[in-house]
Amino acid sequence: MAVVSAPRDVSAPPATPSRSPAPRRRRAGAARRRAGMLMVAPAFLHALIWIGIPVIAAFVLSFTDYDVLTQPRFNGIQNYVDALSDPVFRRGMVNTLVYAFFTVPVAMGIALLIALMLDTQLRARALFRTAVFIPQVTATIAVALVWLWIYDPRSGLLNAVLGFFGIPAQNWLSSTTWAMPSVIAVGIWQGIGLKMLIYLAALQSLPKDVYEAASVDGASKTRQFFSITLPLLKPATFFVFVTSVISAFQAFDLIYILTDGGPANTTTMMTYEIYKSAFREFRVGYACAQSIILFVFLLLLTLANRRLNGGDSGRH
Amino acid sequence: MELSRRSFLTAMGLGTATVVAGCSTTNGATSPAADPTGPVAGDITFLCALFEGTTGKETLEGNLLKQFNEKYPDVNVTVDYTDYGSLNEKITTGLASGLMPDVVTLGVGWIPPFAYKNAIAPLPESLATRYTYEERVLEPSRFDGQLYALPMVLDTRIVAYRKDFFEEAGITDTPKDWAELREIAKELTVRDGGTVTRVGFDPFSIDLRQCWETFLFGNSGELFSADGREVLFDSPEGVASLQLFLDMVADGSADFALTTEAGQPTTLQQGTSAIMMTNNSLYVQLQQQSPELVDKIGTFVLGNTTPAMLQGGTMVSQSATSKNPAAARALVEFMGSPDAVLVASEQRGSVPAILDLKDSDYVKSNPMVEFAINNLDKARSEGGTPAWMEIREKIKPTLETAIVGQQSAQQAIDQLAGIANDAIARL
Amino acid sequence: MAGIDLTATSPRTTLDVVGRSPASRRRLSRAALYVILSVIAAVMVVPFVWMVLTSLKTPTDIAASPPTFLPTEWAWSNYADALAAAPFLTYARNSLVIAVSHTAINLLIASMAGYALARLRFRGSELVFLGFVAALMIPTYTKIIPEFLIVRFMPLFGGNDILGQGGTGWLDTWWALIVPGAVTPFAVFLFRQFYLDLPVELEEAARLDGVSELGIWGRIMTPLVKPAFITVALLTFESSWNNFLWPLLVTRTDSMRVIQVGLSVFRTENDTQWAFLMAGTTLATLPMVALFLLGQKYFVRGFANAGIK
Repeated sequence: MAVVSAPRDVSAPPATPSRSPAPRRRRAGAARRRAGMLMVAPAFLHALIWIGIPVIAAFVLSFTDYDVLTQPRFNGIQNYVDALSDPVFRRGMVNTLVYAFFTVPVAMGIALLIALMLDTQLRARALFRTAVFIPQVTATIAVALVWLWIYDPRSGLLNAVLGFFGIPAQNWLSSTTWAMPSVIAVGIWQGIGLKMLIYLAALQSLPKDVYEAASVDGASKTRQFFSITLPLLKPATFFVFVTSVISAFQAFDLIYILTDGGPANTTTMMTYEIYKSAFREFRVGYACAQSIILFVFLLLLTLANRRLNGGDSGRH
Repeated sequence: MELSRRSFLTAMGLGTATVVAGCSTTNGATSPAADPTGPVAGDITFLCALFEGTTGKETLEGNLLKQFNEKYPDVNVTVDYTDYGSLNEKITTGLASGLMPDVVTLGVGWIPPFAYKNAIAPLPESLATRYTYEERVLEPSRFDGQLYALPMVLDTRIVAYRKDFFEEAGITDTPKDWAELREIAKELTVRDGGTVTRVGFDPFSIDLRQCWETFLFGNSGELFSADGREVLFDSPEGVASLQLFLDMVADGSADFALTTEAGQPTTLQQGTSAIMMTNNSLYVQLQQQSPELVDKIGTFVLGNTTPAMLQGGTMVSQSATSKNPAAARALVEFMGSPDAVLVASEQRGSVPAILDLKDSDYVKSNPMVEFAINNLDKARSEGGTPAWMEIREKIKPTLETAIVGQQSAQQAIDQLAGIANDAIARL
Repeated sequence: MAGIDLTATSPRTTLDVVGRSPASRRRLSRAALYVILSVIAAVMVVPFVWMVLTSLKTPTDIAASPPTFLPTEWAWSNYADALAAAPFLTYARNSLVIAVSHTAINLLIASMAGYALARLRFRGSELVFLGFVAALMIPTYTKIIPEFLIVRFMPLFGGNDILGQGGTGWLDTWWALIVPGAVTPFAVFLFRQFYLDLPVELEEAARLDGVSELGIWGRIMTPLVKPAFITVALLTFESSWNNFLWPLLVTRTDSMRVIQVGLSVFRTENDTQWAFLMAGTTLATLPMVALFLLGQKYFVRGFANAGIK
């Protein structure tokens, strides 16, 4: 997490126009607040119905033995006790953390780097950008099937390439040592496109005047990057971080096709266990409890990041 | 402000209550078994994991359901096609919302849990004797002595081997028991320097759970007691069945990393294995991918103390909550009839569940299907306990812990037995 | 940690033009940039290329071991055969309708909400914002059963009474396919982040000119975050275009199904028809690639570019 809160304490460059809101005028304030509420309302209502109600329902059901087939019966915190004492679910928690720890910062770093390189007047930039984005738009089923072939120990591309450099072949997905790194690699690969796109969009929105002023002041490009670009990218970085952590915590399709959680549960994740509990074992109440645990995990991580980051806005 | 907030919270609460209540509107244990004596009429839904794609739809709706409607003109069938992988999700949401389709296709092992929770309706015993069935084939359709489903298509796990490799090594007979299997596998394993380029035996290209079950049944073991309340697989037979994998990996005649995905050329086709556990659908794959190998591949049923062939498949059942039970029953009977069973089998290269179809052109044209149908007396099925759904998911990962060397076969089986006992205790 | 190291090197490779001979340094760093980008692009694209090549192989080619990179015989007919395997025209039309509706609704409603949360703070707006972020954290598989129940018990639709009983609600209707996924917390969050950093002077000036709050959002501020709109549009379109499970669950009739459901035809219980699956997926991916090529054009004003000029 330290990674995204990276920008050192940077004083705003000189000649930057004031970016803090003018003191609120009481008179205009009420109208603004009303407008604000009205503009949030449609999205808020939508989220309330389609996410709020399901969440409350899941919370209620997490205290029952609901199995879809019979009436739910209240069973207290039994599901939570079961989930937290289940070695496989605990394994899933650890794996999820490991997966997020490796995919999020690495993919974010690579994505920002690529976005910076592609935020230029390069001749073939459209092609490069598309290439980076392609994994994002290709259906995961096809992507994962192709990776299965790449990882194939006998006829796969990866071992062929490594063999060319004299590196011994590995049983990527069927080895308890390599399965997780292999899954993480695909996760990083797949996640870069979206992060790159958001960084690219954020770079477009940076004000030019700040850089011009800095150039006049003779600040080197490296210094400009750290003292201007990174701080101004803070809202985007906060967004990319939070959504990446969330999607890492919800990694599912890849696991489903690449390893099925195996071998011997070495790549199972929390979401995968939730899916199995609910839809393969019909233990819906139990799956709800597992989801609440996942939710609490994510909430804590996000709040911790906000606290560490001291808010997410460039202007506060 | 206060008012709107209160009404708002009320609306939220009501919405949630509806959803939670929705979970309770399921048929539950209280609903009586659907009464099929009404008129054979009305709208029914058929949740179908067979007949996929344009040709499947044409077969089902353009051909089969036309015949059905000639017989029952007042029944209107809506087919809800799903892929096999999403069948669980379709059924789960259907059950949760109280809109379970009137007729559903289910897999082997699903009948006891669904029948136990009264989600599917019992069928009259007369349907079990209407056509010639191998009694073993009907086993997974029963729960508590009652018939709950009609089998349509079967997929059997058989052993396939390369005749040319056997010939090269001068082996004339297929193995009769595990000792012979291990001998032959060792003999047929080929090494190039230190690395194995061909394993004698590939048990890992089919699902580990199903492979272990095949060994277990072939070793005269059982999964559960007849009433499904007692775990029996933690017997010495069960442990030995897992140990067989470990032993063969240890002597190099099997390799956990050597697997292929569905649709990829099998290890047998690639020549990287000499014997493999496979599915009868291999024949269709051979015809498409490696026609030159069709004559070089033979099949046998493996057993240690008794030959056993694992049987999976798709069955058709009637929802316990159907509003038009007579129409639903009529459709179940129709889908279980030889006409429907034959075309369904033909479309996916599966084994028809009815023995009378042994002499059909389709069976005659597919040697592996023919082999399987001739050996249905050795067929065994997984499941047999109402807690099967929960146990099933745990088998593969738990057995894998032994395969990758995290614990011994005995420990893995004991752990699995513990999980299974917990699941049964929750019933 | 790796993240920081990587980003730290970037300005040097791309931007640092200080040197003895600026022109040659620039040319050198240009060349280095092309090489690095080409390598990255290759790694990203290889699986896609493999997919396209597989879609053009015959079953015998697919079975070849070791696998060949290029097909020995280009099986263009795979595409025709794959398309004939399911009513893909209908499926594609349905997917298009859903994706376009989702994109349009999301752009409008989420950007309004994101703007308000960023610029028009009101009591509780911080809490509402955190609520949207928290909403992202609920796994799909947790929401799906309750969401399905809401759709099924939707009052006064599909034969349901006011309490949502008796009928099938929104099941098997466009409502179920479009409404639940129309506004994403992801988009609200993203828009908020982009509106956050706009200069406050513009807003103040417009307000002094008597422009309404809605006008400030629509006419003054929104044109400044066009890249955010393109990003949300691309991502929303992409995720609804590739959605599989929800459309499968809430529909029953074949004519309501979507393109990903059509592609599942090629993966049955014990067989995967690789060539057809890959052909179908390639066709399903092309519209997205075209959209991206169009959309990325608007990402043109780079600060690096400004610096190099």
